[in-house]
Amino acid sequence: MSRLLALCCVWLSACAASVLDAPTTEGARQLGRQVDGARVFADVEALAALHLADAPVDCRSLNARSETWCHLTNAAARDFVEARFTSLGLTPRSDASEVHPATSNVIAEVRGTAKPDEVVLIGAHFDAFYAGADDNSSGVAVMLEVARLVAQRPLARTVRFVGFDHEEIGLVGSTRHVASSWARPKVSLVLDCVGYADATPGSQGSLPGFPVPPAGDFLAAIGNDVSRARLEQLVAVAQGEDVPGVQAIVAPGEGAGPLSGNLMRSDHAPFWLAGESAVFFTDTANFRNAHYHTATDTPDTLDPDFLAGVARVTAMSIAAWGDAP
Amino acid sequence: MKQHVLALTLLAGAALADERPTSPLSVSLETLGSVSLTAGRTQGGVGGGVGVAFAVSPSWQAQARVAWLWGLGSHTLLRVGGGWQRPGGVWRPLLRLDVALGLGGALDFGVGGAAPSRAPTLGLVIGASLLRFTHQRLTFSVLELEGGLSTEFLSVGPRLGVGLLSVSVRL
Repeated sequence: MSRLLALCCVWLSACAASVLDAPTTEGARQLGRQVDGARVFADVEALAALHLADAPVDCRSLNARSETWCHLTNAAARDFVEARFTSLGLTPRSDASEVHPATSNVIAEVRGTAKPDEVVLIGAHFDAFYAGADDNSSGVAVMLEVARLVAQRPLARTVRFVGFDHEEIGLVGSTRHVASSWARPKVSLVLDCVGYADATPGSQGSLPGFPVPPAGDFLAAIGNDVSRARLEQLVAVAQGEDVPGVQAIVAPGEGAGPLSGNLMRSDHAPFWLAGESAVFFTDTANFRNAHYHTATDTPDTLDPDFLAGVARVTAMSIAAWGDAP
Repeated sequence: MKQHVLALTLLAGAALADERPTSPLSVSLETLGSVSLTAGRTQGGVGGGVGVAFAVSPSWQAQARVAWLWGLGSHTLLRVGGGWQRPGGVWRPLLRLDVALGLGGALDFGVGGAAPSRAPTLGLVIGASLLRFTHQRLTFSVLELEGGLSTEFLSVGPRLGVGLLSVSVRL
């Protein structure tokens, strides 16, 4: 019996995906440890305040289905992201489209030191309902923190930071970016709702066929068959670090199946549908957070430690993918 | 699905019309649904398949079946095993034990902080076909129920299945 188990272990390890080498893993972990959690949370507070003060998008033009649509803002948050990129010494660009609904993604790159033509993308949508603290100031703040770290210590590959516009209307900005002439990334990481956690058993909702933990204090890292190896790498690099539990989920095929379609509700979906490698980080939004898309999605409902941990996993993942041989 | 029903009908018609001596081999067509639910994987769907069986004696048979299922991604289900059937008469209920191997599409989950398994789904399944009848060369079965255990080598959970309709013909 023990021989049989040993054989199974050998077979399974042979099935395992590409493992990162030790220097890449250690380098990624070091970058993750440099995350400044207080700075990330301060950015969430700043973005939430900007959303509340901003003039909403004209909801009549969106065929508003509810009052919520009349509290959608994007312009001030977009300016905040652009200004931050500039202050980090980056050169923000836009791939604006005037086609209704008009979008203006904000894009900046840190050129790779060894493989500048290969791109690793990290993105988060900056449009939000109400204050949008979890959805998605949390994701934008994490992206900006990674931008700060990578601007200080460029990686082997070019890292592209994208603030996606109008995710809430239907992944419009990300869809346009995927269809644009920007160089295709080797892998993309999309952040959407990454700041809410609740360790109470039973706080995590789910669907039939989704055996996730009962307490909502994990980070869901979602990939598909194309990005499975990238997901395995980030799970490995986060192992043993001071980060939230990472619940890795792989959707079959491109992820558009009848049950797994729920895993395609953010800006990674256009990348999946284009056959590209993309991973999605989320706290699972409305499956955990009762404030989702309401006026109470405010910074005080978030968990700063959880958010800082997510920022560390994100920095490690980008560093691992950016520096891997 | 239409082609599957047509094939089942043609197979049944050919079997009833043929009066040659029978061999121990039989071939079958089936439609089925199956699901494996472990902490590390949800795999399942509905579809159809083919099989071959060898009658070791009037009571015992060995069999191998392959099916293609669609639902949570498409996957292939291989089942190899054997079973006991009532040795005579028209009503011939069958009990069988199968080793099942699921290959392909599934919703995979990490377990205990580990990355999701890449291994195929392995299962041990007991099936009971109580509504199973034989006439001349033809055997048909409806609502065969299956239950057992399944693993993707990170966790263990139930495997459930139902054979909606199966038609087999002795060669």
